[in-house]
Amino acid sequence: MEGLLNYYAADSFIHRLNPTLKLAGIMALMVAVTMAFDPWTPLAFFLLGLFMLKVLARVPVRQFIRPLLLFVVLGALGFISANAFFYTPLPGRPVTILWQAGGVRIILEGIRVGISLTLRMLAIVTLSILFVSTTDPTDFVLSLIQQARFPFRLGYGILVAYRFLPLWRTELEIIRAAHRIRGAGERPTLRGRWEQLQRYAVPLLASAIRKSERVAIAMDSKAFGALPQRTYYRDVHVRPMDWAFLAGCVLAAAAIVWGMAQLGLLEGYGVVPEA
Amino acid sequence: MTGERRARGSLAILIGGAVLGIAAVVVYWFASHEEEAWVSWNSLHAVMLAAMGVAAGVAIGSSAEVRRWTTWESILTAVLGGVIGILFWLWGLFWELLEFIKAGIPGYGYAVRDLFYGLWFLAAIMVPYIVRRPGAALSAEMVGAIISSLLGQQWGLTVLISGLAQGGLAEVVFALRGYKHYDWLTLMAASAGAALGSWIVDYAFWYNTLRVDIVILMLIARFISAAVLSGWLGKALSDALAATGVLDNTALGRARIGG
Repeated sequence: MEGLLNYYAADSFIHRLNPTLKLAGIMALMVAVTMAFDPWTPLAFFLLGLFMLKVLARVPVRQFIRPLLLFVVLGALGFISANAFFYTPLPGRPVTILWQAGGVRIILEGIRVGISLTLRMLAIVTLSILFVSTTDPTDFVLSLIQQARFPFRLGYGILVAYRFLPLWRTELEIIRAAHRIRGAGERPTLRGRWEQLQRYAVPLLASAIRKSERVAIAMDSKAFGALPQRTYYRDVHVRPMDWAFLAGCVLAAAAIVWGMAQLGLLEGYGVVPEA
Repeated sequence: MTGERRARGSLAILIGGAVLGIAAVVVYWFASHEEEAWVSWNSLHAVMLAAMGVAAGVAIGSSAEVRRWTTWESILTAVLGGVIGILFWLWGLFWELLEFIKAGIPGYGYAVRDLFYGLWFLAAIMVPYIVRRPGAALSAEMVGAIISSLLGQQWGLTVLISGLAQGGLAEVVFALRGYKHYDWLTLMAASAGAALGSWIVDYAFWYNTLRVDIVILMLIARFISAAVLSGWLGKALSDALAATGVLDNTALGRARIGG
C-alpha cells in the first residue's frame, strides 16, 4: 500500500543502524524539540534532521518533498492562527496586542509561538521521515522483538498485518463489485459516502478476521511459539555504532539547546505556563 | 480463560502502572527539590509524567500477559489493529480538512475540531471488547499507531507515544474492571481514559502555549467524541461483526453463544 511515506531501500550509515536504537535516538531529538518555544531552536533541529536525511542517509529530495510541503502548509495555517488568538503568555511576560474587538484579540507573541510550533512540526516530520524512509518495516519489527522485548506473538502479528496492507484495497474492490452487481449503487455525495462506509466496513473487517484466523491456524500447525527457545530467520544486531548514534543524538540535542542559550535565542525552554 | 488468570493479569497490569506512575512523580519531586535543582516543580508536568509512567508500567505488565495469548488471539489483535491503523491514517488526512474549518472559526475552533478526535481510540475499545484478554487495548492501539506512522502521518513518530498513552489508560480501565465486565460502563470509561491519554500527550507536544480554558474545552470535546466514535462505534461494529459469525471463535462470540 502506498502511504505518504515509504521505505527507501538504499545502503547508508543511517540505513545500517539498528532500528530500535535509531528510534530511541530520533525520539530523544523529538522530545528535546518539543520543549522549545522560540523559533530558532526548532529551526536548528529541522536543519539537523534535513542534514541527516539528505547527507547521512542519502535519501533523494523527491522522496520526501511532497509530504513535507503538505504538512508544512497545513500545520502553519493551524498553529499560527490558533496561537494568534489563544496564546498563553509565559509567566511574567507582557503580551503585545495587535488587534482587539470584543473578546477576540490577536497577540504578536502568539504569532511568534505559532511560527515556532510550525517549525517544531517541520522538525518532527523530518525526523519521522528519516526513520520511516531508512528502516525496513520487517527489520523494525524484528528488532523490536529482539532488542526491545516486544512480545514476539504480537510482533509476528504486526508483520502479518503489514503484509496484508496491499490486500485490503483489492478486497474493497471485490466487495464494491459484489454490491454493485446486486444493484446497490454508489452516490458521490457526503451522505452517500457515509452510507457506503457503513455498508463496506463490516464485510471488509469480516474478511480480515477470516484471513487472520487462517493465518493463525497455519502458524499453529507449524508449531509457532510451541517451544521456549526462539530462532529468527533474520537476526538484527546491535553494534557499537548504534550506541554511538544514540549518544550522538542526545549530545546533538544538548549542543543545540546549549548553543541557542549562548546566543541568547532560547526563550522559556522547558517552561510550561502554569494553570 | 479462568477467573484466576484474569485476576492475575489485571493485578500485574495495575501494579505495573501504579509503580511506574508513582516512581515518575517521586523522581520528578526529588529532582525539583534538590539544592541546585535544574527543573522547577510544575503540577502539569507532574500529571503528564505520572500518566506516561502509568502507561509505561501498563506496557510492561501487558507484554508479560501477551506472551500467554494464543496465536489466534495475537494475530487477530494485530490484524484488527492494523486495519484500524489504516483508518487512523485516513482519519489523519480527513483531519486536515477540519484544519481549514477550524482556522476559519476565530473562536473555539480547536475544541470544535476535537469532536472528531474520538475515532483514534477505536482500536483500544473494539479489540479488547472482542478478544477480552489482559493487554489487548494497549496492544491493538500500539499496532494501529505503528501502522499509521509507517504510512506517514503529519505528527510523525509522536503517534507512537500517543498510542502508548491512549492504549495504556484505556487498559487501566479494563484492568480495574478485572477483565470480566465488558458492558457499556466499562467501554465508556475506557474511551474516556484513552481520551485523557491523548489529551495529555497532545498538550505536551502541541498545545501547551494555548489558553487553559481552550485546552479544558478540548478535553471535554474529546470525552464526548470518544464516547461516540470509539465507545459506541466500537461496540456497534463488533456486535455487527459477531452477528456474521466470523467472531464465533473469540471471547465475544462465545459470550454471545454461551451467554
